[in-house]
Amino acid sequence: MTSYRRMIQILTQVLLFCGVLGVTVLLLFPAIVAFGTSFKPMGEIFTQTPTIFPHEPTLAAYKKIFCMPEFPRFLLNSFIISGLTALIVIIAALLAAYTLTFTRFPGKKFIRQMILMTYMFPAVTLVIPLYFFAHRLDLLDSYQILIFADLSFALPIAVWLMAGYFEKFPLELVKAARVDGCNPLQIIRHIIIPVMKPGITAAGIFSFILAWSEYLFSLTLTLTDESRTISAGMHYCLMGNYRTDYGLLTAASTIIVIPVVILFALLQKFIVGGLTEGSLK
Amino acid sequence: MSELRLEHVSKRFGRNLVLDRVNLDIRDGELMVILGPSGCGKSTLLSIVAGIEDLDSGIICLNGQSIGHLPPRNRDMAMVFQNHALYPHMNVYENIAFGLRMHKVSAEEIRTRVNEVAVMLEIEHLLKRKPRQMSGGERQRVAMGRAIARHPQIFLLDEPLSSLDAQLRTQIRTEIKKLHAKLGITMVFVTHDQFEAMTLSDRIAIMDRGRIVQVGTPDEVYHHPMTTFVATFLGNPSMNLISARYDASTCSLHLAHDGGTVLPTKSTPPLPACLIGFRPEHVRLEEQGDLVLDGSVDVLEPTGSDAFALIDCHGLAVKARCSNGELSVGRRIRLAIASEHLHVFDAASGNRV
Amino acid sequence: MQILIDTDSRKRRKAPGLFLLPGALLAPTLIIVFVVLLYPAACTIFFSLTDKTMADTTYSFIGLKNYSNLFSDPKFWMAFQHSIIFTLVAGSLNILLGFGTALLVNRAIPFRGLFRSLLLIPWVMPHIVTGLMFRWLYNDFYGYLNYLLIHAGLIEKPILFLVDRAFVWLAVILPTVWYEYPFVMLMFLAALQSISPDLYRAAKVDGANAFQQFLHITLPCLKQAFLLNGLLQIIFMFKSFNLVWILTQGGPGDRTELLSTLAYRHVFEGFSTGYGSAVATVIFLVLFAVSIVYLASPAIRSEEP
Repeated sequence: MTSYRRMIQILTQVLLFCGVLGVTVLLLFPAIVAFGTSFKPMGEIFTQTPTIFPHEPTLAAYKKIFCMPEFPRFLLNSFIISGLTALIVIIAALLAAYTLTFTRFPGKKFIRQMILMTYMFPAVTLVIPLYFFAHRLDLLDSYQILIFADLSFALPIAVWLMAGYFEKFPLELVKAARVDGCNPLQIIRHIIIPVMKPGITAAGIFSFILAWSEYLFSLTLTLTDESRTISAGMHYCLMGNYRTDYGLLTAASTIIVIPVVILFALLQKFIVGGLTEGSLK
Repeated sequence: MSELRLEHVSKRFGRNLVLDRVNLDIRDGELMVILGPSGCGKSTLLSIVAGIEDLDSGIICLNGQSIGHLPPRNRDMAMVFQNHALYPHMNVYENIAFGLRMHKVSAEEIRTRVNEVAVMLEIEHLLKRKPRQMSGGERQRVAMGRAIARHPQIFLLDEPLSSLDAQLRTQIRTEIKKLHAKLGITMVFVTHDQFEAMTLSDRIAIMDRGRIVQVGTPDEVYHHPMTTFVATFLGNPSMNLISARYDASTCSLHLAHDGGTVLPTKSTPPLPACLIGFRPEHVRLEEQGDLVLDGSVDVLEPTGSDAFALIDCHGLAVKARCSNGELSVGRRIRLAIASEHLHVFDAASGNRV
Repeated sequence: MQILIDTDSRKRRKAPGLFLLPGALLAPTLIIVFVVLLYPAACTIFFSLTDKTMADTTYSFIGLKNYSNLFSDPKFWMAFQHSIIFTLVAGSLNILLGFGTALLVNRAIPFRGLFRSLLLIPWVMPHIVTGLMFRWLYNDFYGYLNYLLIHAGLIEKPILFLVDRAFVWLAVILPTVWYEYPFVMLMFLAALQSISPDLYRAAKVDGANAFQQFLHITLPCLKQAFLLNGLLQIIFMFKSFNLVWILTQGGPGDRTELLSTLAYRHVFEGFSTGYGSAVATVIFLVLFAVSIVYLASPAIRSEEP
């Protein structure tokens, strides 16, 4: 009897595992074939009977990408813009999250909610005036305007994430540091940053990922390849001249996505924890 | 010299009045315990003294100088927290040194002082450890050491023993008392544990709902409670309180539950409604006494050598201490209490008459 | 009396200090939020009341004229209808798929952590990658989708997913759900993990089977999560732009025109900034109204601390 029940249990487990595996493969199918295709030679890509993995793997598509003058430029632009966005976000959000968690002042709750509510603002609503400011200030096609625009979504979410982490930070440590003679900046530097390093890094990386993936602002606020980020760059290249070069498309996608996925996987615990923590209380 | 004086200190959190015009004098070298139930404002009071919380109104004076407006770093006080509040990313040496570094003490002086307290508290072997690698007792000692190394004028302790287990608590309690005797430093110790308060303190300040209701030596507050709150808060089991009515024409108290028992009194309550209080250990099983009650034993709670009895005296529940085995449930007995052990309180205000 | 005077003077002295510190530390964030969010949003609302065009630097205030034109424009109403249908369909599918995958990877299975990470990948992919990838998968000659459908015997000749009016909505919603379900899954996972295991033990003792446990414990405990995900999906889907723009740019014709693409088209392609701003403002106001109603509703409020 017990062995029969045990059999059923094991069977359920196996079925469940196969189910999860099946669902995952099905959902990731587009990403899997794209990854596989990026290593295919031309002939294998343009065939009426497509395969998932290449028969003769080649790095031709990758070589081609790095020989195009625009693509490395896009990567560099994206890297600089996302990096600077993340840097500004970390500093501003750290100060704001500290204040919103550890000090008491009238209107605190209102400011917290206001920062969160900005998530409701449609990007289309923001991009119209941003375009005209940039035009008037001669900032169109510059890193500055793209960084500014990226802050509109990266900063509120980072403040939200960090404030969530700080809420779990023992208040007594802050009190002890004050009795030990620290001012707020010293508390942040000597106590909060060292103790909360993983959470702060996670918020920064998440801002980086968001800015790295940004599309609409880059599409609208850039004019030339000089400051175009990877998203807008791909939009113009792969919907234009290289429209049907699927080797190029999949290879570029792989290059863009791999760093993001690795970064995300490393800090997933903190990002996911922070995102969902406060919202479901 | 380090004397601390609080005058009319008040604090509000939103609509909540947490501290209501608190007055307290703490003498040089004294170990003052602030005792009260949770939520009475005692920890807030300590935070205000340390400067972690701002005060809404009132004055805080250290040696006659007002310090209420100073940030914590300029107050020359050190504090030990309930959960130790050791910085998790620093080792013991760095934890003790951190406050000194922030106060710009020279590196050499820091080394001397850290080693000095390490020897004093027998934590030399722990200096390289991180907080998470230590036991609760060791952490507690480091927290104490961190405060001592500062050479503060006032030493503040916020329920420092409540996160320890029972045995360790007794041990550290003794150590704190020894340390206080050795350093001769002014200490303010906040706790909700009356036993800690009684055993440690030179004087106790008892707080209730944001106010200090009585200040005195442990003996004074135990034997001469000024309000029914102090009377019932101290002592375990707590003091018996029974309703009575004062008859001015005969200068005597009539017990409310039977109206019969009459007790002459020298004090004159302002209103007829009174409460008579007496401690369980002062109830004797005798026929004769100033206050005599008849009853039967309801419940017996043996505690080893002693036992506590709950006695039903015609609808009135009275707690008494007796020796184990002296009584049995259901037995009819007579209780007597001597007049020097009776406390009379005004029923409306709860104040001693 | 003495004390009262003392209290007042102290309060007055302290008042600036009370705001100084939080003010200084919050300043960078508040300035950024103002410059990149509040001020631009206000500007868009202002533009919507003018006859501003892309080129002109001079423009005049025309009151609600843009809105009255808007409300008599059938294209606007069609885009509005598209946006609502898109929000409802994509949002529901996101919640269904997100909830389903959350239930799956909440079970104790080998490599659970790995599966969770893998299922999150679509969420961190840039939209341009997702969009272009799906365009390629939809391709009539070299696309995998047509190949699979033909070989399964479901269709005889390739479907032009992005051109065929019958299929284009499917072609837009599919990648939208693909990138959005992981976020919903995350939210549900967190909610599932916050349910105390004691509740399930108690239910088992009370004799509930797995389905009854799901019905009487899991679902009621997830009520908040469903409400919150509902609100977030309404917000995210109603304002979504990227995928539609990358895949169809509102086409073929105006078959997949949403309010967001309509606004963008008017401002950046049709050069009528005022009119486009009015459309953008409508999106904003609708979301604002939905949020207010949602947050004020008793169902959400009742369980707030």
